[in-house]
Amino acid sequence: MNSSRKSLIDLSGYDWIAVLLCLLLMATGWTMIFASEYNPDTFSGLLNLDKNYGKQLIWIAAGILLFVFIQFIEGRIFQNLAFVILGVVLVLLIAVLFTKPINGSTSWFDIGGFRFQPSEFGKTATALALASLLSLPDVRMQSFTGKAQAFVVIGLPLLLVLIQNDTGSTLVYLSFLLVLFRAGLPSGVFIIGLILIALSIAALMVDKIWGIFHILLIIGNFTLLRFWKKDERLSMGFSVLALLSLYFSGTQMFLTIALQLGLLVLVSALNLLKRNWQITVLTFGGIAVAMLYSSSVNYLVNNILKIHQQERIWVWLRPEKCDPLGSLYNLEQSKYAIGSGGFLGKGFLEGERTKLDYVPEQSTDFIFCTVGEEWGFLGSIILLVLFMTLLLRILYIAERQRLSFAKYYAYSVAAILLFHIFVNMGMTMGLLPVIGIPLPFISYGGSSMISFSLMMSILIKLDSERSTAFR
Amino acid sequence: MSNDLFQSRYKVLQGLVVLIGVVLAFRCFQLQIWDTSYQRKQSFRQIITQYPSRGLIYDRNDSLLIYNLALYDLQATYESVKRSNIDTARFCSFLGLSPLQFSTLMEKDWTDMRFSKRKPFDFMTKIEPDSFARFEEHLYEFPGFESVIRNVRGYPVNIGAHILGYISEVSPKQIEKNKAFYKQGDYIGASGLEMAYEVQLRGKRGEKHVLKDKWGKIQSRYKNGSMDKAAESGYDLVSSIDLTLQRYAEDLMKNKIGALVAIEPSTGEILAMVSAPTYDPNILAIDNKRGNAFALLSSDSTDPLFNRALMAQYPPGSIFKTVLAAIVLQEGAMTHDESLSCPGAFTFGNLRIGCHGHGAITNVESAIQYSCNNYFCNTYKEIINLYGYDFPEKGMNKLVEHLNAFGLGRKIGIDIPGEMMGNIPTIEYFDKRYGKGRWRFSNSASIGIGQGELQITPLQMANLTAIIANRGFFYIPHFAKEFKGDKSDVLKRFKEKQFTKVHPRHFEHIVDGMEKVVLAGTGSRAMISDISVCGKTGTVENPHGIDHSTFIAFAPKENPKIAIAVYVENSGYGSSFAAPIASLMIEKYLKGEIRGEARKALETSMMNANLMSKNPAQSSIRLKNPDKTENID
Repeated sequence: MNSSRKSLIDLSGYDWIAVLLCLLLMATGWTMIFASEYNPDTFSGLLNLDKNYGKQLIWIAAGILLFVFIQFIEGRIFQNLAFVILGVVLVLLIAVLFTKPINGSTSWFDIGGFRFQPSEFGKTATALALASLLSLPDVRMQSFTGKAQAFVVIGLPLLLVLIQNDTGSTLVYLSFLLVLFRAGLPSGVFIIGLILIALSIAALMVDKIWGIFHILLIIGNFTLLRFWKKDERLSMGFSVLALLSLYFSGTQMFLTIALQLGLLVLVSALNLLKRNWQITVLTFGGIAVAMLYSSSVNYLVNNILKIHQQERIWVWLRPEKCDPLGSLYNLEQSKYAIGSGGFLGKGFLEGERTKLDYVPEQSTDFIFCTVGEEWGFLGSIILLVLFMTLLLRILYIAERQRLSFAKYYAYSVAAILLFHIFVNMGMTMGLLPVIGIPLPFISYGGSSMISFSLMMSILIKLDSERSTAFR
Repeated sequence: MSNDLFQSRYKVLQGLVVLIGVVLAFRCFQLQIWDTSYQRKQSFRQIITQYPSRGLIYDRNDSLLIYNLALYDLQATYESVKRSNIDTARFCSFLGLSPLQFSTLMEKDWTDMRFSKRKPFDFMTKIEPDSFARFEEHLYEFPGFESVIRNVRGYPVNIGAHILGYISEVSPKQIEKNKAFYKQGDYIGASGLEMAYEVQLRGKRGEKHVLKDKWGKIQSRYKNGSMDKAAESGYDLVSSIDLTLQRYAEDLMKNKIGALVAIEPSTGEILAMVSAPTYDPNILAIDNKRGNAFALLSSDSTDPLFNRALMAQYPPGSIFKTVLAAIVLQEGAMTHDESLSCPGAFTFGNLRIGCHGHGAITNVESAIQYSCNNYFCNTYKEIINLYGYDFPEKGMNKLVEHLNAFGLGRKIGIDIPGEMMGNIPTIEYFDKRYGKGRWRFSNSASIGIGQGELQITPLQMANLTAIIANRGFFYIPHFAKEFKGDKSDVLKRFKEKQFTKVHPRHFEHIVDGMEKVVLAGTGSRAMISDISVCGKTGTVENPHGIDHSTFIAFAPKENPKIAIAVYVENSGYGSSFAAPIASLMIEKYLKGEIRGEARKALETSMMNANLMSKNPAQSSIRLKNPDKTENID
C-alpha cells in the first residue's frame, strides 16, 4: 500500500525535459495566436472568450489538468484497455458521419457551441492500440498475419476519417508506417514506396508523360548494358548517347523514344543470349510497370480528381500553372508573410501581413506565418530546434523503455508529431501541398491541444513507470 | 531487449528527424534570407490622400465671397462588397438607383489594369450633401463602401463671376505638368482668382498611411500614424473687392454690354470690376448640372463668359486726349497755357477731322474741358514731329515709350488671367502699311482723338485714370490684398510704384481740365454735390449701330479714393450712360449711398435701362480691327 502510494507521487522518474519542452511550445503558440489576433483598438483583456487567444488559454489549462489527471492512472491500464478505447473511438468516428458537415467535412461534433473532433483522439487511440498489438509476443512484422493485424488497426480509423472527407487527418495515419518500420517492416516496402512517391511527383510535374518514359528507358538501358558487358567505354558511350537523346527529346521526342525503345529490346535480347534471365525480366518489367504507373497517376490527377483537389497539387508542384490571385493566392500570402520577416522579424505584434488577414487560417493551420513574420529566421529556427529536440527526446525515451508497449507508443507519438510538424511547416512554406493539419501545441484549437496533451501525458506517465514496470 | 533485431533503425529514425529539421530550416533560410523579394512587397500598406480645404475668398471688408461646399464620392471595393452580401435593394433605395444601374456601376472591366477587385474604385461621384446625409447614417450597413469628401466651391453672394473664377477637374495635360500634385479627378482653379492663386489656395495635401486587410478594409494606421502628414488648408484670400460696390456696379451694368473697372489709386487695389453681361458664379460650381450651364453660357451671343474688362479692346475715344496732353507737356512741345483757336476742324492738306462748337481754347485745361479735336490732333502732330516733320519715326518711338509707361499697348500684369495688351501704333506698323520713310504724322492723325489704330482695354483705361489721379504713377491693379498667414512675397510686385515718364506738375493741368469737364463740360452728368469729381468723356462711333460711350473719372480731386473707367457699348454719347454710371459708383463708394431726389432718379433710370433688348447684335468688340470710327465729341 505504502509503496504504491509512493510511486504515485514520486516525481523523480518524470522526464522533465519533455514536459518543459511541451510547456514552452504551448506558451509560444499562445503568444503567436495572440499576436495574430491582437488589435489595440478592441483589446479588452487576455481572457476574452470571443477571441482565440482567450479560448486557447482555457485549452492550455485543460491540457495541463488532463496531464495531472493522467498521472493518477496506472500505465498498464492503457495497455489493457487499448482496444476498448480504439473501439469507442471507432464508434465515435462512425457516429460523426451522421452530423451536419462543417466546411465540407463531417468530422465535428457540435455540442453547445463547443466543437469536438473525434479523429484527433483517433490518433491517440490508434497509437495505444498499435503499441498494444506490437507488444504481443507473437506479432511480428516479418509475418503476414502480423502485417495484416497492424494494417487493420491503422486502416480502420484511417478509412473512417477518409470518409469524413478530412484529407489532412487521414494522411496523419500514414505516419504509423514509421512505427512499423521500427518494428521491423521490411525496408523494401519503404524503398518501393519512396520510388512510387518520386515517380508520382515526377509524373505530375510534366504536361506530357513522354519525358518520364524517356528517362525510364534510359535508366533501363543503362542497367541492362552494364549487365551485358562490364565495360567502362560502353557505359560512357551510352551516357553520351543518352544526353544527346535527352537534348533532342524536346523537338524529336518520339524519334528519340523510339530509338531508346529499340535499344532496350536489343540489349534485352543480348542479355538473354548471355542468359541473364533474372535481371532482364526484372528491368524490363520494372520499366514497364513504372511507365504504366506514372501515366496512370498523371491520368488520374488530370481527369478523375475534382478541380479543387487538382488545384492543391498544382499549387504545390506547378505554381506557374496557377492563378496568382486565385488558387495560388493563399499560399503566396503565406510565403510572403514568412519571407517578409527577414532575419530578425518585424517584432512582436508587428506582423502586418498576418494580422491583416492576408494569410488564411492564421491562428490555426497557418500559425507558423506569424512566427516567421514577427520573429524572422531566428525565431523560426528556434521553434524548429524546440520541435526537433522534443522529437529526438521522445525517440530517446522510446529506446529506454523496457516495455514494448511503451516503446511503440512513444514511437507512435514521435511519428504523429513529426508528420504534423513537417507537413504543417512545409505547407506554409510551399514545400508540401496545402493539407490542413495543425502545428502541435502551437496552432489554435481545443481538440488538437487536448489531443496532443493527452498523447504526451500518457507518454510521460508510461515513461515515469519505466523502472518499476515489469515485462 | 535482446530480441530487438531492429535496434539500428533507431538511428535511421533519428536521422529522419534531423533530415526533416534541416530541410525545413533550409526552406526558412531560402524564404527569409536568401530571397529578399518577399521583404519588399507591401501591397497592404496604402497611402490615403487627405484633401486640404481650399482657401476661402473674402472681400476687402471680410465678407465671404467663396466658401467650401462638400460633395461626396462613394467608393466601392468589389471583393468586400461581394463578400459582405449587402441588402442591394435597400442600398439602391437610399441612393435612388435601380438594380440594373447598381450592377452596371459595380461591374467594371476587371481585365483593365486601372481596376482591381481588391482596390476601391469610384462607384458614384459628386453626390449632393443633402442626399448623401441620409445615406451616410446607414453606410455601416454596407461594408465595402467608403465615402470620400470633396471640397467644391459655393458662392454666397452671387457676384464677381469673372473675378472669382471657378474650379474644374484637372485635364490630362495639367496632370502631366504637375504629376506630384494632381491626379485624375482632382480639382484645379480654371479661371479668375481661383486659377491665379491656385498654389496659395489649394493648400498642402496630407497623407494617411493605413494598413488594409486583404479585403481592402482599413484595419489600422501604419506605425501609429508616425508617417502621416496632416493636410494643410490653403491660405484664405482677402481680395480687394468691395462687395457692396461690386454688387452696385453689377446692378448698374445690368442689361448693358460693356465693362467697368474701379481702382483705389493709392494702392492699385481693384474695388469693383464688371464685365456685362455677367452670370451667377453658382451655376458653374461643380455639380452634375455644370456641363449644361457651361454650354448655355458658351453659346450665348452676348458672350457672358468673355471678360470684357480685361479682354475687350476698345478704341478709347476722347479719354485718350488726357494722355496726349500729359506727354506733350512733358516733352515741352507745347506749354500748358498755349491757346489755339478752333476753326471747327483740324485740317492738314486734304486731311480734315471735324470738331464741334465749343468755347475758346486758352490753355490745355480748356482743351480737355471742351475735348477739342483740333487741339489734340495738333498735339499729336507736335509729338510725332518732335524731331522734325521728316522724322516721324523718332517721335513715334517717343510716344510708344510714353504710352508703354502708361500701361498701354502692353499687359499691365493684373493678377487674374486673360489680360489683353490692347494696341498702340508702332513704327513697324506704319512702315509695313506705307513703306519705310513714306509716312508722316498725317497718316495717323486720328490717333490724336483716340481713334484709328488705338485699342485699349477697360482695365487700361481705369489704370490710366489712376495714373492721372496719382499725378504720374500707379500700382499694378490687382485683386489679391492679402493671404492670411502667408509669409511668401507673392504679392510683392503689387507694392511697387510704377512711374510714368511725365512729371507730376504736368498732371495738375490735366486734373484741372478734367475737373472742368465735370463742372462745365461734356461730363456734367457726372457731377456730385460736395465731391470734386474729375472726369473725361469719350464717345466712339460704332459703324454697326449706336455709338459706344465711355467715361473715366476719379474723386475726390485731392487725395483721390477711387478711379473708375466705364465703357458701355451702343449707348450713345459718353455723357448719356458711362458718365452717370461712373458718378453713381463714386458717390456710392465715397458716401455709402446716393443722396438727393434727382440723383436717386438717375440711379433708377440707369439701373432700369435695358440696352440689350434694343439691338444686342451691334457689339463690335470682337472685331479685331473695327472699321474706321469717327470721334464726334
